[in-house]
Amino acid sequence: MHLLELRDVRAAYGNLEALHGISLFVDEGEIVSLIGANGAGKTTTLRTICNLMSPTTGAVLFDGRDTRGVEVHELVGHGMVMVPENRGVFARMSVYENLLMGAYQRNDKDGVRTDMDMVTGLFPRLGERMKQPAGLLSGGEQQMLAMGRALMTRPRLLLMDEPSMGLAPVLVDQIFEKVANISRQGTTILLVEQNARRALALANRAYVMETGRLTLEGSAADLANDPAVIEAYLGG
Amino acid sequence: MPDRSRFPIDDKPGPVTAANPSRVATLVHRLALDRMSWVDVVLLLIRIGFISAVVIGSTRTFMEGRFSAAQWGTLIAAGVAQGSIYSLIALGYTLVYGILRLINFAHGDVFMFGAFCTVFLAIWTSQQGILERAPAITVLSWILFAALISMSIAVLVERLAYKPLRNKPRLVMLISAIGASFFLQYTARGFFSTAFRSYPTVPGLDGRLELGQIAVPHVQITVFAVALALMAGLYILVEKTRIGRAMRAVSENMETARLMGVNIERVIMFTFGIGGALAGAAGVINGLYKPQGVSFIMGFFPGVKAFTAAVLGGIGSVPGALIGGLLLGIFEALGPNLVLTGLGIPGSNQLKDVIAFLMLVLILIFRPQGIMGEAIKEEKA
Repeated sequence: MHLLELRDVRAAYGNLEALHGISLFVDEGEIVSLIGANGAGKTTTLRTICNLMSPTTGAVLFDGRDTRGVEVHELVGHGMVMVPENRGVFARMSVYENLLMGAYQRNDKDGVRTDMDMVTGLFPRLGERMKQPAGLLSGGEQQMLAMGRALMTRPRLLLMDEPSMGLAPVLVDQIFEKVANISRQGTTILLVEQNARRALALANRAYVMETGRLTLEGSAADLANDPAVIEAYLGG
Repeated sequence: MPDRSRFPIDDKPGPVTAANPSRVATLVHRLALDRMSWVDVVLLLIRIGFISAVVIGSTRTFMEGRFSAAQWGTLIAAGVAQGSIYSLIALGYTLVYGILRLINFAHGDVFMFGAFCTVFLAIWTSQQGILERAPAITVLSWILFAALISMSIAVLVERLAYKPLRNKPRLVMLISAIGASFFLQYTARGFFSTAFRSYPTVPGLDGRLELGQIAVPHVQITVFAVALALMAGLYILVEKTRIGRAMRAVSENMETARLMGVNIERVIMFTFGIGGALAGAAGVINGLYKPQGVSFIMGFFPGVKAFTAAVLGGIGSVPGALIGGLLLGIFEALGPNLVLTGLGIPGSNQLKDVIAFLMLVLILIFRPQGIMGEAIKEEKA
């Protein structure tokens, strides 16, 4: 059984269909990348997985169960969490409070403390800035905070929407290193990226998306050598 | 190609110096006057007119020495008491605005409903002699009762009048708010008739505390103390508790808060409930403070004024609501005597409300973000 499976999912903004039947799966322990150009429907796919949008037809299965009708806030309890596009940090709240928001549904104080140490171990910069408002962090630090906050939910599946967006190349390296790190600690990851080269270097498998459809899929290594992918996404 | 005909001397080369006056003139012209439309000119005149009226009025009042220092002190004390009632109501506006970006126009009537229902309890406790025996506890029970009533009304209004419209354009909810306001007013009128009813006099609150030359009525001190305690409680709730953190998170970014597992429906209900409870408590202390009593229409003016206070402080900001309420109370108490009397306007105390609403208009024109407010960012999808 797949941890996450989409079966012929269609989704629309009003009358405008954005996803024309997406089928994909993510297995426990994998890093799967979803790459594609701007406007291909990558973010819409993630939003549909999180139930921020409902599929018009088709089904999203998490851990074998259809998520239709499950409230967005309940998914965290099931073990799914998203690091949203543009990070979505709570700018006026401190770094510490942002991390606590990740632990919002948890009652195990000791576990939360352990995870807080784990997050500050993974992102030492956050540990140094616990009391600062998140809005004063740099873009890279905010991305780290958004990831740390998501980890505070103890997710089984981490969805990431464009973690490299707007970051300097050095920082992108750092972020991708952390993603690999998180994966090694046992969290399954579905990564949406425009930066195809890096996403393919990191992932086990990948899907290529174009205008609301998946056009290619396979192991990340194969896709990285696929002439069509090289032509379109890896800059020839 | 820019339209050069408007600036015929613009093409003259040369540095901007006193020796090159036409160049300076052009620059001044381009920087200031050319950018000003007629509206800007009118606004500037309003600003100048308003400031000079305040300055001239106050100086003349002081020159004439119409009021003693003690009288000013008394006025300020009354302003602070009235202002703290505004603050309590303003908090309800600001909390709800922070989360839903909605001006809850029914909030003044939530305040009225709590005060009105409780007046019957108050009269009963007075008739039974309970009030005489244990005044402090009885008044506390009034406050609690009013808070419960107003809390329930606020939550009901949210569930029935706003929740079904959550995904509609914001204007639709605003119109629904006005409808809810009338609904509450005329429900109260139907139940309780149009008569005014007064809160009974609480033993111990009818005296005055002499602070040097200033005599402050006990009731004003009580009003201020109760309001201060409630605001401190709210501050702790918002800043230090889990639900308070969730409220702040939802107000900053509703979608991310949901993704982190926050049940926003619960947070919204809680926010309306807290705002309602504060308004109910404000209703009781307002009843203690105002001998003319409560009526079905009493929510309107305090409602609009508390809204003014929230805007003055910066809507969406909790400290802003506190400061805005107190400032508005003080301005209202001082303004007529200080400014209007000096300008020779008769019956100035009856123009109190004019000052409050003039302030609302001026703030909205000149500083819409208020004192503590920041420019509101519309959340992106």
